[in-house]
Amino acid sequence: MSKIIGIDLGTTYSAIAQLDDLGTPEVLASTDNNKKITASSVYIKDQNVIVGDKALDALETAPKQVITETKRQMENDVVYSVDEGKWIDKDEKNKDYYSPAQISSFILSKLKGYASDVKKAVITVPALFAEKARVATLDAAKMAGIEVISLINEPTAAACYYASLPNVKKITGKILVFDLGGGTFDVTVCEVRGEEVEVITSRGDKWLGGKDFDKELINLINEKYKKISGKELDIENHYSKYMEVAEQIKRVLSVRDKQTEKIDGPDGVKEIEITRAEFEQSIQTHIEKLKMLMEEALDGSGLKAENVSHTLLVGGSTRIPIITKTIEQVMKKPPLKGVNVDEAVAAGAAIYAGLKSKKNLNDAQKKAISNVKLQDVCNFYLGTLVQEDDPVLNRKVTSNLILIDRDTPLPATKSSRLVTIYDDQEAISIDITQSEGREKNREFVNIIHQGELKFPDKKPKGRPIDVTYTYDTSGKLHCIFEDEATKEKYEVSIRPESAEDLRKNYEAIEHIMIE
Amino acid sequence: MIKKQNIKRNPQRLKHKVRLDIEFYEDPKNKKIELLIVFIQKGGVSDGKLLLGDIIKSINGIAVNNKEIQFDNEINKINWGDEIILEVERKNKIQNIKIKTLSFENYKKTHAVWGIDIKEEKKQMVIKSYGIEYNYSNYIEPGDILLEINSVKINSLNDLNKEKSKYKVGDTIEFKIERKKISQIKKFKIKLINFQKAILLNKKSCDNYWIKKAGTLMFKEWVDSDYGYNHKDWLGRREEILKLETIAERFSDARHTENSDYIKDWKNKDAKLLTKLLKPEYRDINFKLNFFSLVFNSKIITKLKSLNLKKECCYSYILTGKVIGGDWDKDVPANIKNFEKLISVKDKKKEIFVDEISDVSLNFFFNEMVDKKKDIFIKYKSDNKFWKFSNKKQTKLSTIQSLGFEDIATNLGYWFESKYKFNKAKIKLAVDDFCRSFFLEYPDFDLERIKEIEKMDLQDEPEYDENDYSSDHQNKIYISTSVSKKKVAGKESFLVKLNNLPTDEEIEDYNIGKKIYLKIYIYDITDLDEDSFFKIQENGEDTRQYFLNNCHVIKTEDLSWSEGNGILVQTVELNLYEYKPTELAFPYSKLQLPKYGKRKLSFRTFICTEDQKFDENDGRFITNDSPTFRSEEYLLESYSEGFDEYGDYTDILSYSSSEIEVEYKQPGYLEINRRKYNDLKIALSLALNQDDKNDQKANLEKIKDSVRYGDFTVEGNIHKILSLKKNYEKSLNRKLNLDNILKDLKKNSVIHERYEIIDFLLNLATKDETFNSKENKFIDKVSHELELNKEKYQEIKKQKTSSVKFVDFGEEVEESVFGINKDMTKDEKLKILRKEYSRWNALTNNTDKMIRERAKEMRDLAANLRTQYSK
Repeated sequence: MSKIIGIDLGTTYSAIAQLDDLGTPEVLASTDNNKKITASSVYIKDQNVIVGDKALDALETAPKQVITETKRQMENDVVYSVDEGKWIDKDEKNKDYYSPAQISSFILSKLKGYASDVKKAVITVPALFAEKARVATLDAAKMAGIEVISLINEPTAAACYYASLPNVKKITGKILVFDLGGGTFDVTVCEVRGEEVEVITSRGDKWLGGKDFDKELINLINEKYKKISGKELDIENHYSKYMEVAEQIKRVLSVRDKQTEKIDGPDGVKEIEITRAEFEQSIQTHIEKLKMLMEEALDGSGLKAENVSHTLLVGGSTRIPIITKTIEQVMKKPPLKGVNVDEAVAAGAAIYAGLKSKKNLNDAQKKAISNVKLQDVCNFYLGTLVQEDDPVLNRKVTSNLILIDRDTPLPATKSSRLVTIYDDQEAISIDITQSEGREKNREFVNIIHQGELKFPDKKPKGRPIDVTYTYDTSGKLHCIFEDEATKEKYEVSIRPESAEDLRKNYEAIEHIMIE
Repeated sequence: MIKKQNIKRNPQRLKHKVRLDIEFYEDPKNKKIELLIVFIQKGGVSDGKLLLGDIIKSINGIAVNNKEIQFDNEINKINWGDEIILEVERKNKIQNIKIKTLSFENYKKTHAVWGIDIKEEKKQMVIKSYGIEYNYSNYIEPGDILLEINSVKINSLNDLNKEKSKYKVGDTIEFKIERKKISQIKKFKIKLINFQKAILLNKKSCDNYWIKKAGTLMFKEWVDSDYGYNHKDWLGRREEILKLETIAERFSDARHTENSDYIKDWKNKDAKLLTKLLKPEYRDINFKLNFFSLVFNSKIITKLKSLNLKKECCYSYILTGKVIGGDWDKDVPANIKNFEKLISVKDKKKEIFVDEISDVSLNFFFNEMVDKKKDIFIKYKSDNKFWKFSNKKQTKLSTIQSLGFEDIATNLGYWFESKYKFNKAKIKLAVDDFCRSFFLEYPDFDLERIKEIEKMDLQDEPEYDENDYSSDHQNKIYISTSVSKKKVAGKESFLVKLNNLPTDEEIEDYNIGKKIYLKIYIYDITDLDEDSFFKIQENGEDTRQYFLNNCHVIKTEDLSWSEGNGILVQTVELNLYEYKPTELAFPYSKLQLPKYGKRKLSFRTFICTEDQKFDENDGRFITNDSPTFRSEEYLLESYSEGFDEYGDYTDILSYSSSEIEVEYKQPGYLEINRRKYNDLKIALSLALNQDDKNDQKANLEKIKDSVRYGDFTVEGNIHKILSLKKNYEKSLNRKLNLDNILKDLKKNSVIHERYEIIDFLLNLATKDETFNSKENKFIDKVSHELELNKEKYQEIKKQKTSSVKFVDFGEEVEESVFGINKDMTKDEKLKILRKEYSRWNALTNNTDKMIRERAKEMRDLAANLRTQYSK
């Protein structure tokens, strides 16, 4: 019988978990070093690919061949050029280079190897991962030979895990999940009743994580190095090396007040001391972002800090003392500690995988997770472009009409009636939109699908068109545009089964050996 | 000795009875034998404590003897939050169960609302009705049979309750139902909501109910009756309230109908409903009784007195006008004037003294007597001031024409006519208001209201003149209109109300082979002057030119609001048996007036056949191939019958006009000089970068093709070249004065053109994919001086600059890009920055790389500034 698997595909670290025979989620250790988290780093060496901590080791010697933070590129049209050692815009000429989905597939393949007989899995993504990035994640899984049961939002998975823990059963009420990983930050407010988790809202920043703190540390180190030697560090060409050093300093500063590190630069090795206070000062802007997003999540859920009973921590970056201090400041109480913040997401994903494939569970597993229930929300505004009168501009403008609001509990179905604006109109163009903010402006929304509904006959303007959007729990959007008079329909399910060039991508990497 | 239990009066309990969220078995034959629990709300206070099948024997030691009423009595003594002890029989054993009742708030959260009424009939579960909590109407109809809930078969109420007990708020329920009529099986799902949400939904539904008064009353009574919990038949009451406006309308309309919908003829069911819908102080009046019972009713007398009727000797009208003593034309018997109080009523046999018997008996007497006798004698007290000898009078009254309350209303109408000189429209409104003031949710009728009506400009509808009627002529259509200012669909608009639109029969009469249209044109009649017109007329001069110069049609730039010629018109085809509008809106933004300032508009409504033509240039209707100015003449000469009465215009079936004043805050179309506008646009565009000579040449190239003068004549092109040359040279010498340009532009541009200019300037500024501080300041100033909406401007700027690089903004960046100014408090600044951060952060997902990159920059900028302000 194939295993019930959950995978946390993170920016800096990834983890895989499975439900053991008793239904308890168990994070699996790496076959290389017995660690339960694996660096999301990939070292491309000829026809071989090395994934994990070993790949990080190669940063010193072959920095251009080591790819890190791939998750941040999942929504972009870029490819990794080993020659240039960076992500470059994708075009026809460089089609043979590695896409973010291909690199992610290497990481997934590596993780898959920690368990035997993995075919199906639930993979976690940041709550605010764009549609494109979600599709890229699905593609990566396919290339790695994993059938994705469902994608689940990371904070939701974490909440699911917390809710299922026997020793935290006392957690009930409104909970704030604070998920600060290596590359992304998600803050989710949910209601936990027993083992039931109902997500109320999620906010986040896809470009805010431990890596951003490391960058600030590099700048700080550079300033100090310059002060001592008068020369600046060559950060651009030794980026990965300095990032590693910065991460090291950051870890130490989480437990000590200062750290002295030997920094190799154009003027030789210098000893640089960084205090915790200096570090905290350098990341103030990021801290402000965290505060704003927490405030927004509270506003979005209609709650005040006093109404939230606990703040749960997820992600390695929550170990930084200023983070917990900030949380305490905003939430007016300290966050809950005592759970392994690196493993909660993967473990939650494994539980969710169990829920989604109950027929594969044994009796003990069924019993263990039988009470866990999950209610997620839509993390985007979904709408369509329409023409409407702008009374100020005194003309018709194209604007975005929202059908499904952000934070609507899933599954959600919403309908609206539109009308044609011209006599004898032959068709309507269909633009299905997605946006993170409540945008009316068409420039600021993503069009995730375009189509056309043709009419078989001619009618005066004002012809009614019924539009219905249904968004299911797996994140699939089903849209129907129906002409009321003739019942002609344009129907589409969005969550493309695979990107167009998935097969080519797969063929390009199928001969590669993954270590 | 029994110690009297001291029950604390807890306000929460008094307002909301304590609920244990359980239900008892109901014997279909209504012979309840025991308090057998058949439903327990999952997640409610009783969940886990009580079990299905338990039989409640006592509460807090007091036996409830298997009676729900006793159970309720005991529950009534309990306060929310109390712990109660229930003695229950469970599997033939007696057990004591403790339940803590928590709070009503908790109940609201945990009580699941199903919103559906299902009854067991002939061993089938029949859906009787449903509420508004779910979209039931999409799936079911009353009469459908419930087959399954979440795949569990439901064959009885017991099954239903058992199944319902399994679910709590938030659970998904799948119904399987059968539509007997067409043997169709359907499945649909709902997600159970809690009572708290159901209250909100009900409130919303009541607020949106088309009969506002009924909606408000319904929600109020529902809340007052502890959400129907304290009402013995809430559903019945709900139906009653829904009929409120219908009943009130019928009541006040009785006198106007020719089909004698007299209240005395109403069915008892309706009369009972009428009583329930009256204000409490009028509920003991039986409006089904005859006129005498009502006219001597002390409550009605008091109500009439409050209108100062007495002073005007109105009781004489009421008592003698058309009913008592015969015809209206007869002199009012002197001895009944100044009626104050009824003393006794007498028929041939007996005399009844009013003070000695009850109202009911008196009413009974009148009723009996009116049906059988012709005359009665009354003794009454009269007002001393008006009657010098004695204040006790006697008269004989005839009952022959006695009808009912309608006569009071009708006679009151005569009084309004006599005292206030009301026309028919005002009389109708006043009497209607008086009648409706007996009802719940309708305001009292008082002198203030009479004064209001007096000031209203209500016109009588033209009356049909029998003498003009010829049997082969169709009925004439008389539409009437009124216009007001109102926000429609979020837009400030003029709303034209259409009364007496042709009925289907009338359309049928007229549209043999021809389509019938309703058309509304608007004219600016501010400059029409009666004296000038008559002077021209007297001098025998052509009045046409006068109208052409002084009465202009309203235009529009939106082609969909015109018939292709720029003249604003609303056209609706009136089709048989199809919906006909009763109101039409004209958004302000669609109107182009001829002149700036305070203007008077005339909304002219035509009902006409498709053969009626209207002039392409000014919208006036055409007869004998030329435009007609009859509407203007009609306006100035005040033809009392309306100009279409003359029958000169066979294709115009009816006409009406209504006037309203408006302040037009932009230059009118007669005042705008298009060339001037374009000249200024060129000047402004060149002023944008006039400090930078290198840029000017490039700018000129960009402007050259973008500015269009609209006229492609040779002369027009020459004008454009000259304007470009002149302004270019000025800009090179830095001679373009921004303040002067803006001053002129304000005079020569309409609002949407000002936005076009902003658009144009932003395009110009960002063409090189950068946006600098100087350009930003310049465009900010233009926007400010042209009085554009700040938010709209910021939005356009945000859109235009979202994918370009910001240059040289320096320290003032926040002011420039986030709209923060020095006068704002710290909190206001923090709030704006959070909003901006949130907005840009959301855009980091955008598929456009440029926008994405810009969004990241702006997001960091907002966060950075907030960090500084937070210190």
